[in-house]
Amino acid sequence: MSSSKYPYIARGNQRYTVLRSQTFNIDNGSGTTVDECLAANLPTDAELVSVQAIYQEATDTAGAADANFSLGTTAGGDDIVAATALEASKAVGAYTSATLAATRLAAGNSLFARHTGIAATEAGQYSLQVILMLEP
Amino acid sequence: MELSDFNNLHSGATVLLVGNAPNLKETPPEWFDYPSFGMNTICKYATWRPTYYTAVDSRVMWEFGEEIVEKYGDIPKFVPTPNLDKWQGPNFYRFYHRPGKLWPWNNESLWPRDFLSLPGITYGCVMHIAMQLAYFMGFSRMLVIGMEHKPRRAQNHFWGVDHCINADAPLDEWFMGYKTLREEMKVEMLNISPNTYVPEEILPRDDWRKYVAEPLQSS
Repeated sequence: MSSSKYPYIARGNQRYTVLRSQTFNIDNGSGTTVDECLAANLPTDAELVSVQAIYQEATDTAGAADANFSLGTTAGGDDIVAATALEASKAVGAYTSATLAATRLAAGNSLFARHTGIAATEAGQYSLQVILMLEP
Repeated sequence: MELSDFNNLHSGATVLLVGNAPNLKETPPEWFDYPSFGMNTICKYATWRPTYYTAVDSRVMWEFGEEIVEKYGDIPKFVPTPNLDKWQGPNFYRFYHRPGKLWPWNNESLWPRDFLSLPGITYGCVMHIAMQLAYFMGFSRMLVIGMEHKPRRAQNHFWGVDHCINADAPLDEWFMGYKTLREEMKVEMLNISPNTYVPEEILPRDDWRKYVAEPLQSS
């Protein structure tokens, strides 16, 4: 990619773009969903490199696995990452890697995250980290 | 006393690790005369107090925190930071809950004095922490009681049923943790809990009668 302010072409891993969601609270309510648009109308085709839940508050030794996250090209969709359970006993800074159902995004697509919570009194908060490579 | 001062404090000694399973009633901890670790809701065991206490879940802090501080005020209590920083009181020692795999990446067999602060330790369940703390303190033999792990009975404790947790615990992960710690620490670990569901290849078993205090043995 090039820009008028920085007219050099990024190569290889320099082209990685990191998207970060809001911090989701695991115990926001049983089955309660929170949707967030992480990117809208991508300017070019893109390749998804990884999707991870990064824990911002530690989870207890049980319970967190009843909450999940997904990723799709529509609000609430799961065509990029199917519902992926969070994990127990995770420290701050630990992560859960998601399996990518699709790795290619065409220009003009958007990217939506969905968090599905569990009932109250469960420790743990996380954000989603999406790494993608925009293609020139 | 600082956290690092516990390093090798009990070099070569035997420790009793006391879980909260229903089978604890079959081997009351007061029958044994060893330094001990109690964990989680052991405060509900009225007739016995551990030498050390540990917990890792915020739920224990919120629901039993005041009771534990009141009953165990004088007992060293080991909890993870930053997870349980809101739990305040006397004699709290805070180890760093680091991300990453259970056994340290550097494979150090003898942990240096500051290891609990940096790089810290991690866990799948509270017994993993008790084992690592005991190892840090230099214990060379660990006897485990109150460990049952009956499938689909994670809610059952020596004091009754906890309906607020899931009946299914990630037992495979916990068992692998026990095995990893036992093999890497190279200390003697024996599950002397009767009626336990922990496979012997994970934690070797032994007869608890061999370890009870002498007055009980002779009676």
